[in-house]
Amino acid sequence: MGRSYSLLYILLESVRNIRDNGLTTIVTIVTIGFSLAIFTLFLLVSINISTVIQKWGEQIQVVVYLKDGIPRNEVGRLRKIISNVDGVDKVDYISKESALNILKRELKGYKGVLDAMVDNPLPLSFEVKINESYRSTDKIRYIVSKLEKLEWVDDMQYGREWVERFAGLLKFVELFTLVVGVFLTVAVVFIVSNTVKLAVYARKSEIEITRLIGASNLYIKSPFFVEGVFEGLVGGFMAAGLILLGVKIMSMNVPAMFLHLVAMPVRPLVLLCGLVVAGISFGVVGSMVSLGRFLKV
Amino acid sequence: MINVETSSGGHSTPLQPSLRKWISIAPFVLDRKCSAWDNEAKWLPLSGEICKKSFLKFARYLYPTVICLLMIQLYHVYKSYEGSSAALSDITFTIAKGEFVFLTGPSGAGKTTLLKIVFGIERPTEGQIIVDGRNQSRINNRGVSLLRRKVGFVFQDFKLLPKKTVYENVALALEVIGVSPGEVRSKVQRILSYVGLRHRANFKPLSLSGGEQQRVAIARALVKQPAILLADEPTGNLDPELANSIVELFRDVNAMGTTVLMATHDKTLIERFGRRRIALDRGRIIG
Repeated sequence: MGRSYSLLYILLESVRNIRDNGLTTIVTIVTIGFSLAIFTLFLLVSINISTVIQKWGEQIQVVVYLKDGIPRNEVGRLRKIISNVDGVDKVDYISKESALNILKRELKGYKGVLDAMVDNPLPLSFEVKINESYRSTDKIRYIVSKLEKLEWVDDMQYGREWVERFAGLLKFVELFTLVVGVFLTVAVVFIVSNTVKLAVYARKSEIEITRLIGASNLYIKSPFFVEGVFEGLVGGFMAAGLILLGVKIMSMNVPAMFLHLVAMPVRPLVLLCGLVVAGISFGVVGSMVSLGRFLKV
Repeated sequence: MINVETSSGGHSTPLQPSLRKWISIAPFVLDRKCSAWDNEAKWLPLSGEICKKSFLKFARYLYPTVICLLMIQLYHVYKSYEGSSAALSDITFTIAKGEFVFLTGPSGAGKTTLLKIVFGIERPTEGQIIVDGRNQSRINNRGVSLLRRKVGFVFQDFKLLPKKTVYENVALALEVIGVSPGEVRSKVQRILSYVGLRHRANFKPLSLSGGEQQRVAIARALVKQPAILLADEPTGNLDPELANSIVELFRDVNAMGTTVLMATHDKTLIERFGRRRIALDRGRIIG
């Protein structure tokens, strides 16, 4: 077979098949499109929730209050010691003035209360940021036990309840994402592969007859390959369109505090490429696998 | 009537009965592993070792020539399906190149199974099948495709593609073997004229009568000028007049060198055309 003629045949046959099996092609495209869109939307929300939780985690810190009268050179030395404790990411020094300013900022509507203060009663302190791998109750307790032994340390505050809640939430979100993600992946693969399989089944006799009159497997598979690429390509574009549209509609309608949950973590072009590749893989792999069983005659 | 050339390009006439008989026996005499011949040479009606050895040496050279003259060879073929009795039992026969053979027997005798096995749609449970010099048990998927390009099969249920036109159905048989578009066009038009369906070229199979669909199936089988034509009850749906014309058409194709194996239970046809007959009953050859 002349190579150019073969390619021409494959393309013409694919166009003819897409035209002749219009409804099946549309159903396959819509299934691929919606399945990918649902899965991607889930991924998008999961990624955004993880990002938010990660940001919350960054707020986990231990505030170390220092005794009054600590010499200035001791502050620097203490800071160095705290920085070297396992699990400590960063140590910020908060002077009495800075502490007062922060308090003023936080008590904006109660200016009168602060005005009544003659002296600055707030102590010197360090805000100790905890490393990501140490954000659990036990590990923070270990850091606190190390810090409280230090000279000039008066008191400590680390919001034990908050850390415990955070650890619980993190565990739940991780588990939820994993379980739903697995279910959704299985469902999407099952739905798409079955739709593609049914589309191939609908042409079972055509495949068998073509094989019976001497067509090679490559000859039979080629148009299905092209059709799989076409369906996956259009399905991928459709999914990308649905997601971008969905995100746009949601971002216009959800309250501002939830906006970051529907933010796009990747560029639209990257999203489109990813979805098109996923769509084509579904279309082609599904077709080829389903086709295999009819090529044994 | 137009000319239909055979793939071999030859225009052999049907073989003389005596030659055909000798060729039928030859494989049993010669189809032995060369190394085993010396040990198994006791059956030779020759005296003296030198004589025997000379004959066997000669036979080894002769073997490929004889095999070339055989188109279909079946040796002790068995076929059984799970949970049912044997569909074929100990089927052994050979068909020479250019022969026209009727495969007869009542419904359920195993005619269709036999044709399917020869065509490679089904594998035998046991036994050897050699078609056009190729042992089917040794050919792979690609080999099956290549074999089918040399064999035309007229199915009992036509097996036409309903979404394609008559022209496209017939053309497909040439397209799959890589014939150029121009050649496809001329060959399809010629064969459609040959079977009297040129005026129906743009019709879909389902809008045709049973007889017309049968002729489309025949046109598709013949358009690639096969070396072998297998036909499964090709006259089953036709009135006697049309049935005669179809068999005449097969006879013409056969006269140009194509080996024909046609399954039928129509005794009138068999008697009328008087060709060699292989009769099956309950999966066994009875005559």
